[in-house]
Amino acid sequence: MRKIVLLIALFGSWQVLAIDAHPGLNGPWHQADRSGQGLVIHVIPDSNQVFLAWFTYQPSGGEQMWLTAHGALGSDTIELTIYQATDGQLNNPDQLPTNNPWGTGQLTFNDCLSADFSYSGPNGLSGTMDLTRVTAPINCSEV
Amino acid sequence: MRCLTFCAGLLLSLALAAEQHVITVHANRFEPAVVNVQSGDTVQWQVTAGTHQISTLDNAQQVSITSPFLSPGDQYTATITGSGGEVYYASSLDPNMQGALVVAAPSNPFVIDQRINAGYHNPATSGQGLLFEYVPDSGVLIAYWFTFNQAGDAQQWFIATGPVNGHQATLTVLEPQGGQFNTASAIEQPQWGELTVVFDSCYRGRAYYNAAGEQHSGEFPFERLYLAAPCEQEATP
Repeated sequence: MRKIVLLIALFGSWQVLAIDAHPGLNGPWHQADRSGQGLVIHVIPDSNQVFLAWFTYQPSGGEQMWLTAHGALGSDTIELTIYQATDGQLNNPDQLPTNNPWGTGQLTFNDCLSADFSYSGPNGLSGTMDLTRVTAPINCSEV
Repeated sequence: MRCLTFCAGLLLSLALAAEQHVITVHANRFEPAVVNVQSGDTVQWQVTAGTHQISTLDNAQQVSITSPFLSPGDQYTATITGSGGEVYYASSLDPNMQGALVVAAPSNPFVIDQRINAGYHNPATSGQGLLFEYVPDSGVLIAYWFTFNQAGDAQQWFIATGPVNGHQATLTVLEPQGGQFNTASAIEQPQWGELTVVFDSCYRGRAYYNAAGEQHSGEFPFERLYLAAPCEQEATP
């Protein structure tokens, strides 16, 4: 019995524990082996929200694509709704874009420098990203 | 005492004296391509190769300059006045040969630092915006700009970086290309243009952009979309 308890305790210590989302985590994140694309994440306690902008490219390659997402704070894994804006024009108030639901995502901060992100989009598009910070965090706390 | 007052006045007048900035005009480029000026400064273009007529593009500063045709060895001088923002100019030899004068905004005690790290947008063009990040270690400002192209038929995003100068910064705008969604792939990052941002506070400012290759420029005000702790603390009595 003691061995089982010890094994459970050891196993538990191997688990990657999530840290609370807070503004010290704000900034650019990417998967290091897929540089040239990534997410800028902002934790906004005042509105109990996470906002992120995802800078990437079309699944077919070549063309740029960006998505935005938001989700409520309150759990270790933040559930996100992801949107894609279309039909806008650079700095033109007479051609405002339409914001369309694109998919869903999950975001978990492991510590100040790493996070897990997964997504599910249209046409069966889904995947994961092992995120690391691009720039050094400011006032980040691993609690 | 009189000397002290006189000397202080002399030093002040020297500090406020207009500067002259020299820009070398090569056959295919201006050097330096971006020059920071104070309103009242003079700019002198000195031609080393090619024949050029230098003209300003439309700008909010209402600076209008058209030089005569200049040959190698010629020079042309103009006084620049403005209230803050970018003035772009081009050579008649090649419309893609452009340079920028960044006219300093009126003095503002606000200094760009990590208090501005947040999302901003122009309320008149909601659905596109800028995420700013000041990096304390390097003193560099990064702007992540998600928007659409000039034709209005595709999304477009940029990464712009540059050093901070008080409450404003002139950033080099890169347009990453050639990647594939969440896939390791080779990326090209050609320069799209320049972006000057002038912050009034950590809540709002104004952006001036120029895409030299597309011969397109513009400006817009931006407002902070949400508060963050440092900015709130500053506002607390």
